[in-house]
Amino acid sequence: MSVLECLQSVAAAYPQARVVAFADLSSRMVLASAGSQNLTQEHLDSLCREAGASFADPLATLAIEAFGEAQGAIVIVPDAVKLFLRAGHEGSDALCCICDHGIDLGLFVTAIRATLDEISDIS
Amino acid sequence: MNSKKLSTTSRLHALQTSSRFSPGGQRILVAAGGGNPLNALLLEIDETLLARTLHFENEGGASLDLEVAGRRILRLAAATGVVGADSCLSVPALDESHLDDLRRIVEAFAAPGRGLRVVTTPFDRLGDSVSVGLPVARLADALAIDLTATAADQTDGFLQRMIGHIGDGLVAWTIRQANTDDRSAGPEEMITPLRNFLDEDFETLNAQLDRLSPAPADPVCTVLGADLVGSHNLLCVREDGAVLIGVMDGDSTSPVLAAWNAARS
Repeated sequence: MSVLECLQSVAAAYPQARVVAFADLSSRMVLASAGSQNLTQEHLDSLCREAGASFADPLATLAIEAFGEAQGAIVIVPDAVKLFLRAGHEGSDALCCICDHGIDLGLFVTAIRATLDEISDIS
Repeated sequence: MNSKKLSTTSRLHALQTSSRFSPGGQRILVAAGGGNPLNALLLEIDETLLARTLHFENEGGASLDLEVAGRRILRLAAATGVVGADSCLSVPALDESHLDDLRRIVEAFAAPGRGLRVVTTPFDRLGDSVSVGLPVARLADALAIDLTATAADQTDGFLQRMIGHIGDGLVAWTIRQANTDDRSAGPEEMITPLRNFLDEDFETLNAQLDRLSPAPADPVCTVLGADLVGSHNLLCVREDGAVLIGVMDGDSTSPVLAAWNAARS
């Protein structure tokens, strides 16, 4: 399965995931995306920057002091639920998702983590 | 007891919070099963300066009609389904001598968990029957309720609702808001680092939250964790300038999202 096919598979399984994007956080670029919501590259890159902001200081340092480096972040705002997961062994790879508030977030996080592991094996 | 001053800006902001209405057009002060109806009832009277009849209803179908003006309770105009209300119903003008009876009436009416709705209508204060009335602050003192603290709670009601809906999974938290003391819960060894963090990094934290929120005035919630479903995770929520920071134990995905959805409803 290609990276795009992995993203399309999880997006199909979770229709409330409007965007599922594979990103390189070091270059702040989305490399592939899937989902019902078509975002321009500009908006996808903005999503990537949000991922970077969610893992940034001062919360990142507090997280390290509390439990270690954060690999996952959830951001909830009035019009969306965003999920950012970093690949453990290669910190710059990440999946960035935009979801509806009705999504089963627990199941989705598990599915996205499995998808990221699969993509990391491909890369 | 009610002498503390609350930031004018915070109170104005709280009064601008969008109201919720029931299908019958009544304004919902407290949803059934959430919040403190007694505090909400007193606060509603405290915020009513013009001569108004406040028709309160609870989820059990009981109702109280209070004529109020200038933060004073002038008369109990009507009551339905409230035990002991007769003692004040026949009184043309309430005063200090009715304090105990009125305290019992509102305690019975605004019991926890019942929810509270209100409809406000004007009434004419006839010149020859002007009543000084009973100051709501006196009633609040008799009920051991700090009206100023209650008003402060209203400005971070969203955060309190989230805390309530998350439940035991939120093992320690602290809320920081301008012009009020921090509110916290949990083991002191977990609270102290959170307070220290807010002391040192409150501005940079708000800058980080600004980058995550589409608009500075919008609420935003973030969770950081190793995997978000096990061990400990950090929770941070901002709403109306108040910031909650806390430690979650275990699954921080669906419980936090469910709490957000419930608090926003």
